[in-house]
Amino acid sequence: MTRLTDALAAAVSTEDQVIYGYGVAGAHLRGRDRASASAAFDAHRLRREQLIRLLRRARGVAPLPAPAYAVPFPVTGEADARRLAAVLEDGCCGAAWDLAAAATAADPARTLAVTWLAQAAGAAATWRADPAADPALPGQPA
Amino acid sequence: MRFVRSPTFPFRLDERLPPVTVSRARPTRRALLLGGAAVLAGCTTAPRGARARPGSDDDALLAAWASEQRLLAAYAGTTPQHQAHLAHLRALEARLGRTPSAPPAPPSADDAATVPALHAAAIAARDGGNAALLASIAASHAVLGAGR
Repeated sequence: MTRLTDALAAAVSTEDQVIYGYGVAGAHLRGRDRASASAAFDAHRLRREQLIRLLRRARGVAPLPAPAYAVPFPVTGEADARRLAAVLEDGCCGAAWDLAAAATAADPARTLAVTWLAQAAGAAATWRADPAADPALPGQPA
Repeated sequence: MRFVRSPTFPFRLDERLPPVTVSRARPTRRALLLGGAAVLAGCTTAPRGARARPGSDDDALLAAWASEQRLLAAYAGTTPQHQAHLAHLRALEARLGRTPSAPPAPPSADDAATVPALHAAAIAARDGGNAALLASIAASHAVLGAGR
């Protein structure tokens, strides 16, 4: 395993968790938020496929998703669901940071990571709806 | 490092790749001479102390740093935007390994306008750590520019 394949495999794992998480969050959302969660669910499935293609091209093996994941807190209503969605997108920011760092200049994985980081940070901010709580450097390791 | 699928949220630090260390390429004599000549000639608008290491990402980092100075000057010190741009500035200085100095530049509050250049710089960066930082700053500017 190379550093790039490690980062790509971790990114695939992250997307597996995020797709599952949006399924949980979406069940508790209504109206426009539910539509947003549904769109995010589809977008993350597409990104997972992109990541898997890049991983295979780098001669890596895509990890299999787990049947289920434990969410970090009980999700019992819309506020919890929005909070979970923000956590999921923050997780994507972290995986995208790592992928950007592991990929070489102008590599398709680098380009994807840069775009992914921007989209995830924007989505996290939208779900959070609290500008003061947005991280100054999305995805930066703690 | 082995990545183990964790069945629990949140994403933990041990699932992340280790931080990339800052490249410590040393400037060559030629670069120092060229940089010195540029300063003596006074013909550059680049921040002082901005001598780029050959083959490094210094030019991109310095351009990002200069943008942060303009953005920082546009926001009052108590706003989240000011705090964010201050964090960006400090992170860029850490990557550069020094604090550049620059002549005063007109303030600019147009965060979104900086995003395309930061994206391009992140994609082209030689060092992965620099790429990740520039991408993260671009993402932050996009959020700030959207006025969320």
